[in-house]
Amino acid sequence: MVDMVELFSRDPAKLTDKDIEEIIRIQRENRKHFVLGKMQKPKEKKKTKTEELLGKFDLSKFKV
Amino acid sequence: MQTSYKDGLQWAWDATSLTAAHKCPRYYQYRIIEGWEPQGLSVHLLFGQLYASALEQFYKLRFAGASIDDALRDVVRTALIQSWDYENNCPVIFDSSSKSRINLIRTIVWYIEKYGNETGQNLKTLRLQNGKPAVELSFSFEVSDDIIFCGHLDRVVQMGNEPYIMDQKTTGSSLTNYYWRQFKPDVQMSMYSFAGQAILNSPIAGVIIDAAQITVGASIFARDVTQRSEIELEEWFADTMLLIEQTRGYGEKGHYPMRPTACSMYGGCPFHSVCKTQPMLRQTELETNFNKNQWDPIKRR
Repeated sequence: MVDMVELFSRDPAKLTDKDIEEIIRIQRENRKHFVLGKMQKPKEKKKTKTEELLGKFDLSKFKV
Repeated sequence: MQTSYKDGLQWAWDATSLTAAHKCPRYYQYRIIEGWEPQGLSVHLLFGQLYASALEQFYKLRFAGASIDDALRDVVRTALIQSWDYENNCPVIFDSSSKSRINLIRTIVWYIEKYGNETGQNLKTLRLQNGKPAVELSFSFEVSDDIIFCGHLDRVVQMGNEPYIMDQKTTGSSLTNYYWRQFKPDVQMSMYSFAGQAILNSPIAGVIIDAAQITVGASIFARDVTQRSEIELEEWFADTMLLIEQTRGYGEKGHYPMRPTACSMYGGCPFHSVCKTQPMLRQTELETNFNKNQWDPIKRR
């Protein structure tokens, strides 16, 4: 199997149709993994700056 | 050869020169009138040009009847050739971890995977009266005795029966609401809507913006439409004519004032180093750190 880096370091005018198709195939595979990865990753709610700061303190110690 | 300038004043205006005039009169003087630009081609410009040219080729091939796979193969080959330095026999150096040569190809392939098949989207390239596809369409038309508007449209499409202009953007920014809000108000999008209407002799339903966010590990796409009503275009035209008159006034007086509020905007003005220099040393600063590349809107691509 030819790797991407090797294909990209060759004079593109000399690449065969098969070489180009291999580049496209790999990129399509990469996209599939990226899309799948995005679908599987559970969305974490990003903490606000205040939530982050509050997380650093043990609020139970504060008596109101 | 005809150029866009006569006696130091501009008569052919495109979105780039209007944006420059809006940004800062001094910026307009250096970049548009005198033709200075920072040394070294910006990687963003290079990446954007190659990407737009690849998609232009793709849509032309599709219009001519090529299959998606055949068109994609041709487009990838061309993009690889255009990004190869034949003088030194090596790939062109992009000098960016995200906007690299390999990521250019990735972005082209991924875009076509996402948007290449337009049958389901009810989209097709508009056929011009001469039978040619409305892709990379140069336009110019008179708006007054001594002013013409000109420019290039990436593509005009038909969605159902309505014509839309399509524009390709690449960015490093996330495609959030904050990103999209930059397109209204926006000189380029208003100019496209105004010009589209003038050259097609019918109102344009909107400008479809296909944005690609380029990161190191992925290219992320989103599509949005920006629209201008008749009355908004009338207002834009009146504002624009006033801007041109004002900018020409600076030229006639031989003095384009600085607009210091713009120095830090848009990622920082490239001419900041010039403006902060003593006036008598500015020419030397320009000649040392900038190249001459006259922007000529009337020049067809």
